Amino acid sequence: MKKIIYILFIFFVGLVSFQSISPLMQQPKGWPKPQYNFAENKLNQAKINIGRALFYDAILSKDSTISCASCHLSYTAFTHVDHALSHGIGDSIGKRNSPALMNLAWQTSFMWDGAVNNIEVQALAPLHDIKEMGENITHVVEKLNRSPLYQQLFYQAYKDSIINSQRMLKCMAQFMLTLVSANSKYDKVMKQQETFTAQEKNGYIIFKNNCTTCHTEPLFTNTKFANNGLPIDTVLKDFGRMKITNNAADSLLFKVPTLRNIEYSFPYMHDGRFKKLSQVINHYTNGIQASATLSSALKKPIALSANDKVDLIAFLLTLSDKEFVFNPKHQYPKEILIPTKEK
Amino acid sequence: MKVYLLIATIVLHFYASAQNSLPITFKHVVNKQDLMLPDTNKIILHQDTISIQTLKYYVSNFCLYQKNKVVWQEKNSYHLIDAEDTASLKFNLQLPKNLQYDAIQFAIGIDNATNTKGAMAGHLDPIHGMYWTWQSGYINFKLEGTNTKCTTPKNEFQYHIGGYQNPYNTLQLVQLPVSIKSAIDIQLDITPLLQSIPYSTQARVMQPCGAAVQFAQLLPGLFSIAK
Ligand code: HEC
Ligand code: HEC
Repeated sequence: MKKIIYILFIFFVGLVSFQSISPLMQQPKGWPKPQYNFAENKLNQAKINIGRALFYDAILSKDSTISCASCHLSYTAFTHVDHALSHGIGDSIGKRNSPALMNLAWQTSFMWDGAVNNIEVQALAPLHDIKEMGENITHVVEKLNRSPLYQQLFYQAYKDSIINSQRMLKCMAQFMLTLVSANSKYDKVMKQQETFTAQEKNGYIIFKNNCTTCHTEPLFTNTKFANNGLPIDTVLKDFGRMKITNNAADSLLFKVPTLRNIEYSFPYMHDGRFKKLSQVINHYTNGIQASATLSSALKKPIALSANDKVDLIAFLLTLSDKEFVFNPKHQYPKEILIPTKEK
Repeated sequence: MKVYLLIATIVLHFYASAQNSLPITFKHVVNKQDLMLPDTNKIILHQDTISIQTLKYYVSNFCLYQKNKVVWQEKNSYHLIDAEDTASLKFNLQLPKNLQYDAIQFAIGIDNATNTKGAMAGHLDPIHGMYWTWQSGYINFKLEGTNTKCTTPKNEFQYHIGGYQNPYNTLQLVQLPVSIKSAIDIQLDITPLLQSIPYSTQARVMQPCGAAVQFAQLLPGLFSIAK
């Protein structure tokens, strides 16, 4: 009898732990539960489609020149490659490097300094930024209400003709939440489907010894804020998290970024100061600037031989997820957006 | 017999769910006069000439007290008051019949939990211009205008008071004694506020900070029940 109860118990635990978030989004094996409350915004294909269309539609910018994708390209894990600081309308240059977008359902705060507290309100920031999209939400909602395409898309999703900012923002959140990257070589090695080369294996050991306090597996971020010893840029004067909290203890703290797809998301750091991974590694071995808020994890110097550095980079490259970066479901939705242009 | 029971339940049901509408009206006063917006009538206070362009704020979480105990709470209680929009100044609270109460309480602003809940609709919709976009969070109280004392361009002042996290939590509670009446008029007199603002050093407060908290702390004392 005890045995039966035990087996039943294991069975139910199994059921719970293999539960998917939604038929539209799988929970990667071994990952923690998402932070996002999906119960309040249930994933729905029609809503994801709206979010995807909006993400790629310059209707969100004042002069119809910039979409979210202008700064967040799917082929580069949704960052703006080659630009240290992102470019917005009228070619104005922003204050920060656009971060790669993935696994956002596991994050609790957004932006390099955590200025945004929920993925649903994220779009409001670039939309209103005069250097990014220069729009305002009231006007964007008016434009969507006048658009036959969006009238139709919202009707399909909600079965009524209401288009308001809440629906728009929740749809955009749905699209972004489905950007899950969990199928890199690293993941396959962890699932014992592939094996590391000797170099990658050594790199993984070096990584675990020096980097995982902050770039914690499996997300490769602990989603906290830290000062990783970058000297301040005297022109940008960006003190990071302190701008939000007004607390001196948060001076020079930035959100720990994920390292997944790091091969594609150069340049690196909040201001895009490093173009190459080798420069990043050299920063951690030789460039750490001591300051009152420097993370204790980096106070002890990191010494790596030239070979170790090469191996560490070889490991970081195993975090590239080609399936994610080239996923057609993440790309420009021709089938949704092009027909309007013919009308 | 069954029919009687049925009738009795129906009657009981109606009796229990019987509601009383309690109309609430917000009134704005400056210098002993009604504040009318957008008519920018000039206000002379001491030697300063002041004009008000915007007075907009949230009142939320309405509840009624009887002998220091909560006897009723409004559900989904968020109201945006805009001095310029007369329709926004009046709304009804739906109370159970024969409710006994001796005080009304509400918050000025939006609570912490609601601030982190994501995209909201109705009065909480960001289209109302009461939401910061570069840093998530509601603006609890907005006062804009001009004062000859301000050294800013066009003598403008702008106070966007908000912040939901400690130490810069700006949410404030107001509790006012009331007698049971058919309507409650709540008055906000901004005169003391206009007198205590340090215009010359702080013509703008636009983010959660210590100055915003100080400003917010002045607000509860400005509300009263209009006679
Ligand atoms: C002009 C370039 C630009 C545009 C357009 C743009 N972004 Fe961004 N995005 C950025 C930059 C730069 C940051 C980081 C800003 C910061 O930290 O202050 C960012 C941050 C983000 C983040 C936070 C990621 C994280 O991990 O914290 C998300 C999500 C995001 N953007 C989504 C969007 C959406 C949705 C749109 C369209 C409504 C959009 N972006 C439009 C440049 C842009
Ligand atoms: C104390 C926590 C901490 C430790 C330890 C740490 N990092 Fe970081 N890392 C950060 C933070 C914070 C940033 C973002 C800093 C910024 O942009 O200002 C970052 C940024 C990066 C970036 C750039 C990511 C991007 O998208 O721009 C790479 C690559 C990186 N770290 C690799 C490493 C490696 C490799 C190690 C180990 C040798 C390591 N980090 C150790 C906190 C840490």
